[in-house]
Amino acid sequence: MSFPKKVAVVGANGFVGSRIVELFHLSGLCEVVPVVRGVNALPRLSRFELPWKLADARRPEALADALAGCDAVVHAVVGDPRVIEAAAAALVPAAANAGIRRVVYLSTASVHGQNPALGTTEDSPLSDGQEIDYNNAKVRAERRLFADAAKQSVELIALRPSVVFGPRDRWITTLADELNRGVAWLINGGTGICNTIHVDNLVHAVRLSMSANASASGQAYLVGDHELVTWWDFYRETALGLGLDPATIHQIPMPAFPAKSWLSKLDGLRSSPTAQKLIAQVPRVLKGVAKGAIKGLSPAPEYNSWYLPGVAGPSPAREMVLLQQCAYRLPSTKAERLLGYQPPISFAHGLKGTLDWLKWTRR
Amino acid sequence: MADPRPKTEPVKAALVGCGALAELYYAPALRGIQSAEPVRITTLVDPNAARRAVLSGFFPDARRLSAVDELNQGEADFAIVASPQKFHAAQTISLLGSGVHVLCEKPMAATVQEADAMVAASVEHRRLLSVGLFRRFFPTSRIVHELVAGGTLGRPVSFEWMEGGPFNWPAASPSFFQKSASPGGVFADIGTHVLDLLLWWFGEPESFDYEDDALGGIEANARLRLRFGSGVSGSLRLSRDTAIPNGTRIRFERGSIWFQGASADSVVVQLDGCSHVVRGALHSAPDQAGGVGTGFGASASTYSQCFMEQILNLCRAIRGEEALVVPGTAAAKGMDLIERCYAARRTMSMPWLTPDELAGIERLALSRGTRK
Repeated sequence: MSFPKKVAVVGANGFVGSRIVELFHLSGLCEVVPVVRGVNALPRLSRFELPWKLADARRPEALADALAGCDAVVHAVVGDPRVIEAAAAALVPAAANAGIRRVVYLSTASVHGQNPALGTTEDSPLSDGQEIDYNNAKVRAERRLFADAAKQSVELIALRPSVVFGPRDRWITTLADELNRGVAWLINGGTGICNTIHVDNLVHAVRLSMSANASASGQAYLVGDHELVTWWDFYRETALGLGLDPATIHQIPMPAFPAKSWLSKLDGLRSSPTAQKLIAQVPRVLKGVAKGAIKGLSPAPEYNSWYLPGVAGPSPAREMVLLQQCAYRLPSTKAERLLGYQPPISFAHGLKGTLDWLKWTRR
Repeated sequence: MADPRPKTEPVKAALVGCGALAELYYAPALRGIQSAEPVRITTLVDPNAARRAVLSGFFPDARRLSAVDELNQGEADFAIVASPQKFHAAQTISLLGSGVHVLCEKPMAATVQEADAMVAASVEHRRLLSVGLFRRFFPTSRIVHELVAGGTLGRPVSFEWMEGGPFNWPAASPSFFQKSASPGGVFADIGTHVLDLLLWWFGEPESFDYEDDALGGIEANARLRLRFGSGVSGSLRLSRDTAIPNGTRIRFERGSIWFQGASADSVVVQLDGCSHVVRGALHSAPDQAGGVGTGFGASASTYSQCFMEQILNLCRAIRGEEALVVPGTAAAKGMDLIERCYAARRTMSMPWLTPDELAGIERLALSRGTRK
């Protein structure tokens, strides 16, 4: 299949979406039509003279209008679990209405969990009963998309990257901040596998997916960098690139997290589609009362003035702890075989460019 | 130019442009100043009926018009022009010609030529033209001006100014991001405020070097290096794309002052040779009669109060009670510098771009020329 002449990028203002727009446009690969929800999302995109469109990606009719005249679409919408599922439900009907056959959906390797089982491949069964709500939403989104695509004769390819990093990435900004403040941390000595993929390698996989044979569609693909990168590699190289001493990275024992509180479970439940339908029926006044009651159950912290100023320490988050326990390198072999994927950017080169971007934002 | 009417008689005002700025800033500000200045909003002007309806929620008695030329003689003493920038010049000139004083939102015009025409109309029709560069009212801005003029910390030596982050203004129209409607991006938007202050503090620049990241469109990142005739030099970095450190530091011979660009009333003062800095909210100086028990006076004006003060300033200037703080002539100087920067712009180095993309930039620049 030849490369499409006109490609819509839905969710074009995000970290990955904006890089797709930038790279496709500046490289002269094709005409690019960025699609974003509101005018607030335009600053980064309006650096280029492009025919951007405004559309709510959760509304199939509006999205179909925005996609009209395009030959293919990349879906890079980010959001909370509700947005993820609603946007996925709208995508294939909108593409079909706009006469688009090739759809590339940016999914995530987190559909297999942050710490996938040894031997995991694209064919491993997925669960939407995982601890992290984001994972569950992405699992349900993929299921919906593949089911819709089969009905509508749309050629859907889902890409499953894991730790995507690169310029404009909040991940690297957060890590740099933690390293600068001396609160960066690793568990297990950083021996866990960080399944990195530089954003330009992901964009390369998108590019290949655009022109892949129809036989490659209807499937999901894990994609990653060429090198095996541990969390220690990632943190160490970032620290060195910023001129900081990697020895300042805290090596901490495995943190114990309390079981999910009933409040956070309630919050997760609240985001399910069924719960959302039910909540919509509840009068606003009653919702306010319920919210107030729940808030009232949270204990207020006690003020204590008798303390010495301490040195800030690591503050491990549950999702990151899960990621750092990963003992398995997710394979890109299927993408290599069916899409011809070979990551063009080495980890070292990609990290250097990312840190160069970070320095660029500070001068 | 002064209007001798007594203060008890409300000043009549028209609000031209009913977008997000009018809704979120001017409407609450006009309500907020009522205790000091009973301004009556007689007219709302916007071609979009839905937007007029939103603003009539604040001012139910105001007449709703779709264009400024529908205003009756004497319907408004002054008008606030808060429409998209491309309409500022035509609307302002029309209003001044009808005998209406104008507070025009920044940037005051799309070009210096337009700005000059607005100033000329103000002079010709003997009506006041004020521009919404309300950071001049910030206590932080005033204290820097006083330090520069008074020499308390010695002569100013240098400045660094970084301001911005992901764009979060609830713009109602995409005109902000359309090259056809906006002469520039973040530099024309936030830079207008910053350059106005720098010119106010340090005088005329001797030289400058400007670069931004526009690649056929309008910039989301900009960097300016400036050297003033007074010897002060420094840099300005703006972004509406990504998080950058936010802070402004002005170094003097004997210390420095630091604040965040959009912060009206708090600063950090560092005196050279001292182990600690002073960080805090600004207050007016204490009343000497209060004795040693009174360390400070009233709280300095906040961001919102400064926004209101620019309207009060125009009302008082109309009555001849005080001079305009930001007259059109001053704002036109900032516009002139911005226009010269755009004319001499270079494309920023973007270290993450691939060779293919860099070749593409060359190609685009060749095919489209340099943006003015």
